[in-house]
Amino acid sequence: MPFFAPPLSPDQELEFLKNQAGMLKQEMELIEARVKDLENKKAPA
Amino acid sequence: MKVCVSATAPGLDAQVDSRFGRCQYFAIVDPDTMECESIPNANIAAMGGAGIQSAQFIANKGVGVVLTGNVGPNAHSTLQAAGVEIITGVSGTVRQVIEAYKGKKLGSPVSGPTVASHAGMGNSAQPSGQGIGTGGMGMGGGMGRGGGGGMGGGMGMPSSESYPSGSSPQPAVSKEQELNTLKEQSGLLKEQLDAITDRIEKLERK
Repeated sequence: MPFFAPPLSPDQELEFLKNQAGMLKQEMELIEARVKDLENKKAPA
Repeated sequence: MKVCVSATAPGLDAQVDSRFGRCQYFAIVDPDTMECESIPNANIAAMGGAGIQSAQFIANKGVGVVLTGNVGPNAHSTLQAAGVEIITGVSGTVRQVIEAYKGKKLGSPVSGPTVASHAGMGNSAQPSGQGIGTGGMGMGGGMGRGGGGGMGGGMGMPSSESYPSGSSPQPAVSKEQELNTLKEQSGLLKEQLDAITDRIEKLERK
């Protein structure tokens, strides 16, 4: 099933990229929080 | 019958890629001979339809079983329609999961998707049970190098399809495995973020 995306203007691309960057940062924060959580659990009680 | 494993690199010793539609390589293995054909996934940076296209590609390769970390609703329904069984929640190397499959040590085929649509694109969809982790990346790596072309709309569209929450039949992953996976994914996300940031800076300078 081919997927055709309309071309983006530079402004649209910029907005898109900023949104993507925000999502990636959120994702990284969630991962880091989970890593910390796991590492805390690993420490001997 | 051939078995497809989503992988992060070519070869039998590559690690399993937790994504299916946007995995880096498809390792198509004959479990009897362990002959492995590694095919780069052309859909890794697709703006949409990656799951469906990957599933169609795999089905056309004569694969009978897919072993992966997670599968979204589009890929799941396409594979199911093609009669391909899907076993999720696997981790380790391609060789290890094939051996586990041969030894019937893996779980049963899943009856539904284990992540939402576009989970591999960087939204906050999380696989149930294991928290963060197995989705979340994939599209950023190709972006920023596109020079402004080829990136379409449709970003972040949530799926209205439901998927089982809290009941996916994934085997337990050890803390160490989860930590390793998370750290690996964090590194990949950082690379993608850096690429996007570079592209943003270039666009803003124009």
